[in-house]
Amino acid sequence: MKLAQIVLAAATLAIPTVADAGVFNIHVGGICSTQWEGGKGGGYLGNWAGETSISAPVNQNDSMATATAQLASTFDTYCTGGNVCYVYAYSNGGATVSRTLSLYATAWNIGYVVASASNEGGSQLGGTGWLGEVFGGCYLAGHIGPSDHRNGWNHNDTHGRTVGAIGGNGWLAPYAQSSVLPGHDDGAVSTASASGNSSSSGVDSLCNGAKYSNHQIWWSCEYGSLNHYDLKMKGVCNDGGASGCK
Amino acid sequence: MLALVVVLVVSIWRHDEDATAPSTPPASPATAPRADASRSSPGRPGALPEPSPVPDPAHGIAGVSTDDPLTAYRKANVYPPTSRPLTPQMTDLLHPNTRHEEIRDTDAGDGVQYQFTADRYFVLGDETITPTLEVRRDGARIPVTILRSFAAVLDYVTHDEKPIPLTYAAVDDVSTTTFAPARLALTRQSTIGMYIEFRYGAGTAQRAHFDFEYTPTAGIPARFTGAFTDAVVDGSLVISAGVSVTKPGPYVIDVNLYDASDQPVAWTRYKGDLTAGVREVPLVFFGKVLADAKSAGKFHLGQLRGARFDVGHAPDLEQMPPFTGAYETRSYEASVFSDAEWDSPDKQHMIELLTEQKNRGAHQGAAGK
Repeated sequence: MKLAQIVLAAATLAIPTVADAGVFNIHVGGICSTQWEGGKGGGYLGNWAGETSISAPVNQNDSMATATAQLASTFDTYCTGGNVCYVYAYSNGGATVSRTLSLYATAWNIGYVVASASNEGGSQLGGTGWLGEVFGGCYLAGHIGPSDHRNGWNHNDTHGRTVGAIGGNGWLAPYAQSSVLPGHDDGAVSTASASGNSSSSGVDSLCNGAKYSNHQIWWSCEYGSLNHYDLKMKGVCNDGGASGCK
Repeated sequence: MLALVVVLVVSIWRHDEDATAPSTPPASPATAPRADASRSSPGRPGALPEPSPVPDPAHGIAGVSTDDPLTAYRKANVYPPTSRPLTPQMTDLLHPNTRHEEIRDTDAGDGVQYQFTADRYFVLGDETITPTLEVRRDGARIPVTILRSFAAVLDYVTHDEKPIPLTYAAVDDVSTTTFAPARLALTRQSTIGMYIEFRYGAGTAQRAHFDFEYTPTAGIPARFTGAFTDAVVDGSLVISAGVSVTKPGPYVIDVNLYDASDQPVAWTRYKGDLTAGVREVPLVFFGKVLADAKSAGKFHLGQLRGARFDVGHAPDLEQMPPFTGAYETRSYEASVFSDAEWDSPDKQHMIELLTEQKNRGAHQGAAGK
C-alpha cells in the first residue's frame, strides 16, 4: 500500500500545480458560463504546439464584480513573471476581459486579446430581464445592457494591450435582427458592441465607427453570415488554434 | 532507487504543504502609480531599439488592422496606457453618466415601439432619477396604461429582491416619475432596477426594465476637495487634485483635459491606493500627448470622476461625487511638453516577450491570417 502510494505520488509530480514559465492561452467564455467549453456555441480549447490552453474559471452567472475578480486571479496565476498569455474571449467574456484590464493596476503579460462577438459595449437584449425571471439563462444576463457596460468602466484602458475584434451579421433565432439591436448584429450583440466602438450607435460594419483605445478589427470587417454562436470558435481558428470553423 | 523515491516523496510532501497554505490573493489593484510609467524621460538613453512608431489615431484605424502584435503594441504604447489623446469621437469619455436605451420594437412585433430610459446612470446621496416611458406607433406617441411599476434593489447573491411601488404620471403621452433612492436608507453602493409593465392599443402588454447605480451618502468613499495645483514635471503636465478619503483602498479616477478653445486634448486616469485623510492625487497628462497636439496656453479639466474599487463585492465600484466645479491651469508654452516616447520596465518586458513570440512565428494576430 505504502509503495503504491509513493509511486502514485511520484507520478503526480508530472502534473504542475503552479504555472511554469511558458505560453498560456486563456479562454474566457460568455454570459452564464463558468468556463469556456460547452454552452451555446459549443466550444473547445484551442491547441498551439508547445503551449498550454486554459479554460478560465470565471463565473458569469451573477455579477460582473465576481467575474472580474475571478479573471484577475486567473491572470495572476498564468500571466506574470516569464510567462506570456494570449486571451480568447467570447461574448460577455469580452466585456469581462475589458473590465478586468481597466480596473486592475497589475500589468499582466498579455500579448493580445482576441474578442469574438464581444459584448463589451453591452447588448440591448441584455438589460431587460424582469424581476424574478431568469432571462437568457442566468441572473446576470438581465443586467448587461449598454448603459451598464458603457458606464461601468473606462474601456480605453487595456494596459496598452491590443484587443483584436471580430463579429458577424448572421441570423440567430429567436432574436430577429434589427428588431432590437441597433445596426448590424449577430443576433445577440450589435456590431457597435462587438467592434469596441466608443458610441452605441448602430453601424453596418465592424470597421465603421470610432473605437475605444487599443481596439482593432482583425481579419474581416464583418463575417456576414456568422451568428453569435458561430463566432465563438472563429477567433481561435483564425489565430491558428483550431480548424473546421465556419 | 528507494532513496530517489524518498526524495521525490519528500518533495511532493513539501509541495503539498505549500498548496494547502492560504492561497495568494489576487494581485491587489492597489499598487501605487508607477512614476516612470506615466512621465516622459527625454534624457533616457537607448532604451528603445527603433525610432518611435507613428501611433494609430486615438479613436482607431479605419478598416482591418494588419500589424503584427509587436508593431501593434509599440504603436499603441507611444503614450502610456493611462494617458492618451482625447478626440470628439470618444463619446463614452466625453459624456459619462449617459444612458443608452434606444427606442425599440415591442415583443409583439406589431409596429409599436417604446423607449424606457432615464436622465442618468449614477445617482448619489439625495439626488433623484427621472425615468420616462414613451411609446410610439408610426412615429407618433400613443397613450398607455401603466399596469405595474416599481424599483428593486438588486441582490447579486440571493436574488431576494423586493418591489418598491412607484407611480407614473403622463404628460403629452410621456409617462414619468421621480424617484429618490435616499428614502431606502441604504448604506453602501447598490444597483437598483427600474421595472414597468404597460398596456397599449387593444390590450397588448409589454414589460421593460433598466438598472442604475446608487451611492448613498453613508457609502460615499471619498470626495474631491476642489483644491488643485498644476506644474510640468519631466515634460508632462501634472494636475494634483485634492481628495478627502473616508474609506481607504484602491481607487480609479478619470478626467478629461480641454484647451482654451474648449477642445478635448487628452484623458488620463489614476489607479492606486489612497489612505484615509486628505490626499493629493496626481493626474498626469503625458507630455507627448500634448506635444503631438501642439497644445499650449491654459487648460481646464472636465468630467473629473472616480470610484473606490471594492474587489469582488457586487457592485464593486463605490462612486465618488463627480467634481462639478471648474479648474483652469496657468498658461504653458507648447515647448515645455516633452515629445519623448513613453517607456517603462513593463513596456520593455512586453517588447522582449512579443519579440520572442514573433521569432517563434506563433500568434501573429492580425498579421497571421
